[in-house]
Amino acid sequence: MKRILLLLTAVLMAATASAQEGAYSPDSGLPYWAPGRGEVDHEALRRRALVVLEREFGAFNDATGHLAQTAVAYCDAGAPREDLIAAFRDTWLAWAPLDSYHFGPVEANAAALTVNFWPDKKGFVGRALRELLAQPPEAQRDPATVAAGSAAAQGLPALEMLLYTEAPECPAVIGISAYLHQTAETLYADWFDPDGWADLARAAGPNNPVYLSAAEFTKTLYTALDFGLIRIADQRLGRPLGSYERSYPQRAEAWRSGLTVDIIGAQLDGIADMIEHGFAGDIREPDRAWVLQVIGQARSRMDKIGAPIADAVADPAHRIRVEGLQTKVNDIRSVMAQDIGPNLGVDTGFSPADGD
Amino acid sequence: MKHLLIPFTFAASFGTAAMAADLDAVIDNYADIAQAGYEDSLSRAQVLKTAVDALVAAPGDATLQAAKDAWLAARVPYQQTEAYRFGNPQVDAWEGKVNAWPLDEGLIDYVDPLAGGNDENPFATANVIANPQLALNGGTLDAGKITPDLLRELHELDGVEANVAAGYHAIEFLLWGQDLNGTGPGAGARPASDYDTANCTGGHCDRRADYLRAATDLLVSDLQDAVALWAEGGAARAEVSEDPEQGLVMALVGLGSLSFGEMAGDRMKLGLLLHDPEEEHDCFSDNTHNSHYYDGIGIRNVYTGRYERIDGSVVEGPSLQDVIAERDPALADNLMSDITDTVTALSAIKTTAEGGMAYDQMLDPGNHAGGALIQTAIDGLTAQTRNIERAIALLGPNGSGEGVEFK
Repeated sequence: MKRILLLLTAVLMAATASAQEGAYSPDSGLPYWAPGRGEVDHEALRRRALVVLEREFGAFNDATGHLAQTAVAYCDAGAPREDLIAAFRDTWLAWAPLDSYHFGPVEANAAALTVNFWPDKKGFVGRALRELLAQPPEAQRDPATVAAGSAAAQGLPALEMLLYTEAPECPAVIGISAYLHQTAETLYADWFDPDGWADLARAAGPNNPVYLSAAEFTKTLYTALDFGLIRIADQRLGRPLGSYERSYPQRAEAWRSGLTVDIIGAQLDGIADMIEHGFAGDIREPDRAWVLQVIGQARSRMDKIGAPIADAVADPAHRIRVEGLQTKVNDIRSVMAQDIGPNLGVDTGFSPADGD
Repeated sequence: MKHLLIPFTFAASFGTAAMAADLDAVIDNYADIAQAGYEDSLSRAQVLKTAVDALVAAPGDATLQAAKDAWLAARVPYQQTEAYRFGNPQVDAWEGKVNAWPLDEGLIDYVDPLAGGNDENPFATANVIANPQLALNGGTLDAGKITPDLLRELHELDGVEANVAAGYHAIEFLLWGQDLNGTGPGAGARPASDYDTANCTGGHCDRRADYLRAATDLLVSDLQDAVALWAEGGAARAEVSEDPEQGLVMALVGLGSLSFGEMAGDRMKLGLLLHDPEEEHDCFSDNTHNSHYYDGIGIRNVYTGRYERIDGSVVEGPSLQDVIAERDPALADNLMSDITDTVTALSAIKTTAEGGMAYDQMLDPGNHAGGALIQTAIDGLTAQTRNIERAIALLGPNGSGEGVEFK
């Protein structure tokens, strides 16, 4: 114990020294603030976080644009089906990191539901899709038809059901993809156009309708990452896991396409991305390195499951690895709560996970 | 706000003895209002039980209507107690017994073949009333005699949340039946003869009557448990009183979670986006406008420390609002004004529904005025959540809300 303390002291002293010697870079947030300084540069953090978010929302916008074009090429011009499947996969993985950020434009546009209506506890996607497929072909390919219908037929699970069941893919796949792209464009614009949510966050202050200080935006981001981890542990893993006596393979997200585990990986990567490039130097180096290391451990447990989640939960030999991943994701939450939140001086706020 | 257990806790860190005494008084009043709310819910449930017995003894339009009226009246105090649910683990663990929702009602009784199935739930159309034996994971479940114990066993059968065998919504379904009008006018229209063993409609009228009585008995006994949780020496009262600072935060967490994740999200936004009347809270009786409204009133009760009981008497005392006002008057005012705006928005939904446009009609994608009414309430609930978060940050130990344990 004494040795650890000594080591820690050395690290702290080095940190203090480097903060004094090197010029602080607001872009990287480095060198990190000396511990005990008691201040976080929330404005610098916000600047970096918005770069991360703009990149991720931009990637989703690009992926949906490509998907919409590919759907038309597949249905109308006989383009290979593999192209459509690949574009569908890329779109879902581009959405995965954004699943954590259920606030601002995502909340205002209810995009968490329209893009990815999941979990679907009462078979809404199938029912909504049957209604869409009952429309004339010209209406099915029109995003306006999709917009006017149920949210359950507006996004990725509806596309998956079209692509991985006997349901006729064309032309509904065109209408849903086009609407999904419209949603992605709206999200990007509502975030990053002038007077969008990014500008609202930049204008944090006593008269701001949402963020009374820059620290409140930090709190929102921190809550969002915790929410993303809850989504992975309790829903993406917990729902199919059920109990040892009774697992629920078909409650796994995207079980038909087998994308379940890739989605979890992409969401974890998104969380790591925000910590590394958004929070960056405004959390202390050892804490940041540690949480990223624990996320890496979760990533490697995930890679070792060796079977699709839907199959793994029902098989005792594989199930234990899924449980191990779930434990590790909860470990990330604990590390965040113990090290990252106090570092930033924020605690989690309310999230959609607070309902039931 | 979903916290993991963190292996350290904060000791009470601020305040003089005088201030601590004030906080105790605020918490006492908070718990008194809870106790009064559950007592009122219990007494209305007992009235419902009498009405149900009368219906079963002499099924007819008048006795059915009287039972429905008693159910509607029972919802008024109960919904106001929902403000106690999410912040108090004792209540949250108990709540599913009485207000679980949404349900696959086909577990209980006959349903329209096109409006009852659910791929995720093998028991979505099990129809216990018609089937004394149920196949369950290779074995059989004996439902020969319908008792409160059987309903407990059926509740969340096979780990599926939609298998709601008991509680307000199960009783609601047994009184009203399915509402098959979609987003058009009209609620469920179960005939009284569904309980008439001499001229039985719907089949198995004796078992349906047993089911209704068992579910009502269970509701009464579950509400007795809730009263006990908040009475002097009860576990929920003890938990908030132990550390009054943490108790205040628990109270605020209850308000924020109900406002945002539950009401604005699960109960309102989802139905609006799906345009699906299945997703309205009181979908059989078309009483959703009242359920939402009294949730809003319940939030106001807790914040202002004042509850008007069903007999017109008032429980009141030092409030969360008072504590917040002492430390940040502007925040206290802003939160009060948010809560008032939300109650106004919920009241507009209630008035409109009472004027003839039921909540499920507001979900029609073509009904822009109805959709806007719901959206306004969602926006109000979301806005008040932000100031509730600020209040938690203000009141939490060290003024940071840090280290608070719940869920």
